[in-house]
Amino acid sequence: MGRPAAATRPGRRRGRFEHWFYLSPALVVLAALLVYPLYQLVLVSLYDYRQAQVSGAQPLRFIGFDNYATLLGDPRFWGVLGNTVVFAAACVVGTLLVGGALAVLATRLRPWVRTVLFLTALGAWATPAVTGSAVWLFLFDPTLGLVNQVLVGVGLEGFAGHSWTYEKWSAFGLVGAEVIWCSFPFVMVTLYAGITSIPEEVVEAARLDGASTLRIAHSIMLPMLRPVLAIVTIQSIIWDFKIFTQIYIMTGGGGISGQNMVLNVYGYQQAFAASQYGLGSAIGVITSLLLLAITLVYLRALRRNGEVL
Amino acid sequence: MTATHLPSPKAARAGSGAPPAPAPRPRRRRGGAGGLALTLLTWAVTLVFVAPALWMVLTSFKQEADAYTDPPRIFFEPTLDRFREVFAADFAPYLGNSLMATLFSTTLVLVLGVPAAYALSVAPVRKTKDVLFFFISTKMLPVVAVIVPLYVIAGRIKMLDNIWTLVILYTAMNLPIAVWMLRSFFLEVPRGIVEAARMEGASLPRVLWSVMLPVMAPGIAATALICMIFSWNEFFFAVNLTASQAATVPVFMTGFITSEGLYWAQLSAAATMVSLPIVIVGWIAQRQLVRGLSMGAVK
Repeated sequence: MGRPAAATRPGRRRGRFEHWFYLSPALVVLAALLVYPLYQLVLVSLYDYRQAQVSGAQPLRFIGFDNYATLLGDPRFWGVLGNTVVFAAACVVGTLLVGGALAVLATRLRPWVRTVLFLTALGAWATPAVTGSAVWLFLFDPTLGLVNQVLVGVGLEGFAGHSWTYEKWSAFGLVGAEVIWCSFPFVMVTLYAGITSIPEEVVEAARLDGASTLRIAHSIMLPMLRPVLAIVTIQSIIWDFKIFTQIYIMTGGGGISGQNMVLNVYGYQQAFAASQYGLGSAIGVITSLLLLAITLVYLRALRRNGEVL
Repeated sequence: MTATHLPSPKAARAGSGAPPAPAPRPRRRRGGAGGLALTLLTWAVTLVFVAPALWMVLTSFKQEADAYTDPPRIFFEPTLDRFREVFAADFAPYLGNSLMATLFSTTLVLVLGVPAAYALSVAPVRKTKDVLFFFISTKMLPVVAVIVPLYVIAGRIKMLDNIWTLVILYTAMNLPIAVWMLRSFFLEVPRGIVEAARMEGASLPRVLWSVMLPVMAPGIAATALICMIFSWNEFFFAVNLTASQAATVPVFMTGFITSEGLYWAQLSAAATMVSLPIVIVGWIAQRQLVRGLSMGAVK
C-alpha cells in the first residue's frame, strides 16, 4: 500500500517465508471451515435431492445444472431476486446515511450527550436480531404499539389499528428500519473514529476560506474517510444481502403469500419447508456468486478511483 | 486521532516517529442555515433510532398490564419483578454459555488474526490483496445454505450441542473482519521503529511482541470488542447446532418470543439484560474503541 519497495532490505528473504508461517493458521482455519460446506453445497445443488431421496425411497440422481435452469426459468425466483437487490441496496444506503449522520452529530455533541448516544447505539448493536425484530414488532403493533398510539394521539386517526406488515413495501420498510437500527452502530462508531482522526487544522482552514458545512463534508471529509467507508460498505452489502432473521420473524417467513421473500429466506424455505434440498442449495450458490460479483465490482471501482484496499 | 500537530494525514502516514496520541476531542462550530437544517434532521433521526432501545428499557420496569395501555404510559410504578422472572426462567446457564463462546472465540480470533494481519501488513501488495479478498469472501457464503453440511459434520464428530463448536464457528465468522481491521492498525505503526528494531537483529516475533503490540493496544481492544458483539448476538448457528447443553442467550430469547405478544415487559427485561454486558464493556472501552478504530481509519 504505497510503501516503498522493501525487497532490497536485509532480512527480507527470511521474512517472506515467515510471513506465510504467520498467515497460515488463520488461512487453514478459514479454509477448513469453508471448503467442506462449500463443496457439499455445490454438490447437492447438482442433484435431484428431495424428501424421497433423503428417506431412500428414490435413488439420488445427478442432474447437472437442471436446478439452476429451473430457477432461472422461474419468474418467482426473479421476483425474489429483485426484492433482495432493492431491499439490500436500500438497507445499505440507509445504514450508511444514518450511521454517517449520527457520526457527524456525535462530533458536535457535549461529551455526556455523546455518551448517551453511544450507549444506546451499543444497546441496539448488542440486541440479538431475534429480539430486535420482536421489539420493533411490538413498537409497530397495530393496536398496542407505541407508534400507532402516538400517531393517533397527534390526530392521525387513520393509523388506528393500521398494520405495518400487511402491504408489501410497508413491511419491507419496517424490516429495513430494524435492519438499519441494528447495523448503524457499527458504521457510526467506525466513521466517528475516522472523523476524529481528521486533523482539525484541515477543517478549520477550509472553514476560514468560507467553505460551507456541506462543502467541507463533501470535499474534505468524504475523500479522507473513503478507506473506512469502503470497509463498512462491503460489510453492509454482505450483511444486508444475506438478511434472514429479520425477514423471517417480522414478516412471518416471507410475508403474505411470500411478498417479502428475499433470497436467503427463499432458499431456506425451498430446502427445509419444501424439502427441495437441491434447489435450495442452488439458491445458496447463486447468492454467494452474486455477492462475490458485487464485491468485486465495488472493489474494482474503488481501485479505479485510486483507492487501495 | 492522529496527533494534532501533524499538518496532513499524509504526514501522519509517513510516521515521523510520533505514535498516534489522543488529541483533545474536537468541537466543531455549526455553519449556516444549511447546517442548522442538517442538524435538526440528524436530531430527528437520532430520536427515531434511539427511541426503541429506550422504550425497551422503560418497558422492562413495567408490570405486564402497564405495557399495553393506550395511551402508552411513561410514568408508572417501576418494578424489578420482570428481571426476577427472567432469572427464574433459568437464565444463568445460557449466560454462561454465551460468555464462554464469546470470550474464547474472541481470544482465538486475536491469536490467529494478529499474526495474520501482521504478515499482511508487511507482505508484497499484490498477494496481500488476494489474501484479503479471500478472507472477506468467506463471509459471502450464506450461513442458511451451509447449515446442513455443518450439522452433518458436527454430528459425525459428536460435537453437536457442544459449546466448542460455537467457539470454532464464531472464530471463523469473525476472523475476516478482524484481520482487515488489525491490518489497518498495523499499517499505522511507524515504519521507522520497526525497521530500526529489525536492523538491530530483532526477530519478527520480537518486533511484533515488543514493538508493535504496545502501540496497537487500542486497535486490538476495538477489534476485540467488535468481535465480542458479533459473537454475543449470533443466533443462527446457536439455534441450529445446540440444544439443552450449549444453548446461548439469543436462543434463550426465543423462548419469550414464541409466547407471542403476551409478555412484552418480560421480553423487554430479558432483552435489556442481554444487551447489558455489551453496553457495560462498551462503556468502559469507549475511549479505547474510538482511539483504536481511528488508528487505521484515515490513511
